[in-house]
Amino acid sequence: MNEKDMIARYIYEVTKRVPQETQQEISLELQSLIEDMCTEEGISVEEVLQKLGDPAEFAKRYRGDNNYLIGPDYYDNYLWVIKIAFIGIAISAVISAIIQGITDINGSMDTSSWINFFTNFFTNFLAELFATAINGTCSMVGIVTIIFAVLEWKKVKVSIKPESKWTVDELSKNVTPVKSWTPNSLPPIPDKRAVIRRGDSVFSIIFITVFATLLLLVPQLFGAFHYDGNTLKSIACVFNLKEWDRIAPLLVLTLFICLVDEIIKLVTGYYCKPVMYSSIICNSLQLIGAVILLKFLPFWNPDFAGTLQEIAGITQFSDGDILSYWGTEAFNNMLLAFIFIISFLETGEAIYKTRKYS
Amino acid sequence: MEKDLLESLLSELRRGTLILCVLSQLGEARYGYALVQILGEKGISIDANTLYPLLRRLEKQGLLCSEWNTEETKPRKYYKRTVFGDQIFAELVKQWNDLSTGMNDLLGGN
Repeated sequence: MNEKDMIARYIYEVTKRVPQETQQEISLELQSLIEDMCTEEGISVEEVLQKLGDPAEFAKRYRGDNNYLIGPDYYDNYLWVIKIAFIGIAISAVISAIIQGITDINGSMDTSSWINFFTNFFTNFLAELFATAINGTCSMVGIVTIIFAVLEWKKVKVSIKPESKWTVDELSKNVTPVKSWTPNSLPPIPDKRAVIRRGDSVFSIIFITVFATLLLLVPQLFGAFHYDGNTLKSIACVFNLKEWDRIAPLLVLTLFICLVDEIIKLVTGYYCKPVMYSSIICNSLQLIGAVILLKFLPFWNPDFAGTLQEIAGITQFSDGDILSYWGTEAFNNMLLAFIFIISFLETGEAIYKTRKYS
Repeated sequence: MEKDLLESLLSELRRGTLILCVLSQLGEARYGYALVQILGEKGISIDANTLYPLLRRLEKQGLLCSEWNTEETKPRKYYKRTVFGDQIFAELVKQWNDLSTGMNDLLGGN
């Protein structure tokens, strides 16, 4: 490798790590710097590059960014939510493992004797427990990390902080640095009526986690199990499992949006503007998701009611029975109306309490 | 180990003063490497891989402005204090003088 090559490689290693709009300039800058150092200090290119050090380190200084995904501002809350999510995963893992163990969804269970039954039960139970725990942990940690990384990246102010926190950026706005924190800048204690109870958020987050994990990993649990004696004959799932690959991502995305909303509530701890906006945006997105799921995707298993009829041996559901509406537009409309009302109530509460108490 | 600790404490001590060092020399336009040399002659050693990113940052903050000079054999980027940079510099110098008076008192008293 000749010296020119070495310089070019070094510059490339630095510039590929800096924002594109600065690459050309930094490249020129480095080129003349390296040449200057060679001539002025009378040392070889190799020695110069050695002196300049690891290009990755150099580039990091050029970027000047924080070298973390989730900074100290969010770290405590992040750990907290992860812990809560773990509880959710543990619960859903145990639930699905017990059901898997008892019902033998895969139909591989030997029920000829009690010993065989128990051996099979524990094999199934443990297999399911580990599978759900591992899958669930990976996806939940991933999702929560993504949410917090975005909060960090966008510097969303979700925690209670004094309004005028001094940053270096302010040097470019004011001639003299603004006096930073004073006791006067302490924010008022939020009105008791505006406080969001942690317990509520925790409960919601656990619920969403359990629900999302089960929907994603074992959607067949949401169905009717038909037994003939001890053996499971069939499962009639309420969801359209044939189309599940299309439905599940949107469903989980909708739940993910719920999770974002709940995390913001948890981190903030009281009704204020960020909570209000997040509530409006998240609820709108959830409504869109619900409309698409129920109106445009084949969400429900069309055979569910029919299978139940077969199993139960009845020809017609009675008039008031909700199952007689199965698969009809009216059924979906009722459900949507219900979801709309809940969303409006939730958003309304956020707007009302924010306006009134904060 | 002791040497490492001393190194890291020293670099921490120097870090805060670098901006003042750099601003002090940029009343007139200079390019990066010339600045390394000037500061080096005065006993302030600064690595190019610290200085170059610092210059860009100060420019982004509006304390410095820059211009490419392509008339010489090598194209070089010249940096100079802006009017705003002058004001900030004056303020920093004032603070530095107060600080060093205080520091001398403290250290002299020992």
